[in-house]
Order: sequence, then structure tokens, then C-alpha cells
Amino acid sequence: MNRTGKHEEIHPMLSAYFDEELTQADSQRVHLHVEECEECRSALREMYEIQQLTSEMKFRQPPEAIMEALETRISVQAPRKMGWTLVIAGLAGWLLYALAYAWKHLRWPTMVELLVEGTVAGLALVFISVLRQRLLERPHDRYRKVRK
Amino acid sequence: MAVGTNVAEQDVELVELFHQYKVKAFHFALQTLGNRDDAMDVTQEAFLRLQRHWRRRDASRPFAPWLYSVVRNLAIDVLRKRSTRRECELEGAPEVSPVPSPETNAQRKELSARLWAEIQRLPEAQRETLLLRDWHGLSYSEIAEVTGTNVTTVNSRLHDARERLRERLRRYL
Repeated sequence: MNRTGKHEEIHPMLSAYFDEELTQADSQRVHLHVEECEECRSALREMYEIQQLTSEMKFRQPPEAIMEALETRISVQAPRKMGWTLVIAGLAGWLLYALAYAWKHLRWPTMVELLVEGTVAGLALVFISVLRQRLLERPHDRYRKVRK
Repeated sequence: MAVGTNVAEQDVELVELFHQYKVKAFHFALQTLGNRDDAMDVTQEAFLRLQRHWRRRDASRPFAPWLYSVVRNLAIDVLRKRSTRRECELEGAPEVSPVPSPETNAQRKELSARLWAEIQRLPEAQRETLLLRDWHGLSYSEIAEVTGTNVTTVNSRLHDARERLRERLRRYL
């Protein structure tokens, strides 16, 4: 293969060679070519200069107050998550206990008990339904915290 | 109790990663969007999203590509919405300009500004790949993961971007 042919084949690999992303065999091929090719050496020097300049660029820092608020938001999730986990675990424990107790003391309820339990359950359902509706219909004003 | 402790440990890990990556994530969003407020919104949403999916993540994989890909997807959503709101693009343009450090000499400052102008002229995919490599320091495979491509495409985009920059800046280098 003549010099030009080899150069045209090697040149597109320079970028990956520069970033050390070539296989060992390809890297060796490029290395040998670069030693004898001034044009490729020059290209590598320019790539290095561009990379240095790019990596040195400084951009404006993010607003510290917002970053702190975000960190607080992320941090408070930890105890909250742990709290919910414990609540769910506790409720599951109570449910198991209640089921075990009911199984042990199983008997048919009396008519009075059925009436009382049915009334309480109905009231609870109405209460939950109203509460849910109120929460869903709560006004969503995204700008409510924005100062006028 | 072990479950609760585990949850707390996971969040401590996220808070540590937040400290490590918050500025990088913000700068990636800023470089993509060109607007500080949008970049901040995207950064916030990205970390909150990571927190929501934290327990489902593959802990054996590096964190950075995951974060960058979430930031990228959110930034693309903002850009799509922005196509009908042109004023945002104009408004954001000067905010992304690099701030030269005080010790930088005048010639290097000028070269840096010229380079940034040329980077901004690159096609989107090339600019993104170049910045992820040369500014954020990601490897080719990490960039491929972030951009949803493969290493060959990353290599090709980087090569093209560098060739263009060399061509346009040759007399200043």
C-alpha cells in the first residue's frame, strides 16, 4: 500500500487514537504512521489544543439557592420514604394479626352487630368519597407562590 | 427496620451523587438549551426523576450516563416545545457563553471565544458529542449510551466535529 493510501485509511482513526479508544492493534498501526507523517502529527497537535481549550471553558454556575432547595427536597424524601415503609409494614402486621384473631375466634355475627358494622362502614365510605372529591377539586394555581 | 435503613442508605447515596454531579448536569442542560432558567428546571426535574426510579436502577452500571441521558431527554422535550416559542431561543443565546477565568490571557480568551462560536455552529449531534467528550470527559461507550447510538457513530461524529473545528480555527491554533 502506498503512502497516500495508508494516510487516507489512517487519518479517520486519528480522533479515536487521540482519545485512546482504539484497539491495541489499530493504535499501534496509527502510532507507526504518525511517526512518519507530519500532517497527522499536526492534526493531533491541533486536536490537543482544541481539547485543552474546550475543557478549560468556564460556564456560569447554577443558582445556589435553587440548588440548595433541590438538595433539601431530595434529602427530605429519605425519612419520608422510611416512614411510609414502616407505616405499610405496621399496617400489614396489624392486618395479619386481625386475620389470625378472626380465624381463631370465628363465629357468625348477630343481627345487631351486622347493623352497627354496616352503618359504620357506610359512613366511612361517604366520608372517604367526599374527602377524595374535595382533594381532586382543589384549585391548582401554579403561580400561587409567586409574589404579585 | 432493615428495609427502612436500606431506603435511607439509597437516598444518602443519591444525595452524594447529587453533590458530585449537580453542576455537571446543569452545564450539560445549559449547553443544550442555551437558557439558564430552562437548564435549572431540567436539572431539578432530572434529579427528581432519578429519585423516583432509584430503586429500579441497575446499580452495576455507572451513574453518569444515566443522569446525562435523563437530562438530554428532558432538554429535548423543552426544545420541542420551544419550536413554537421563538422568543425563548433568542432570549437564551448569550447566557451560555463561557466565562473566561481571570488568569486567562487576552489571546487565549479570544481563541476560547472563537472556539465556542465555532462549536455552536456545529450540527447538533456533533456539538453534543464533542462537548460530552472534551468538556464532560465521558468515554465513547458512555456517550453512545447517553445519545442512544453506538460507539462507531460517536467516533464518526467526533472525527467530523474535530475536522470542522480544525479547518475553521487552523490559522489561530
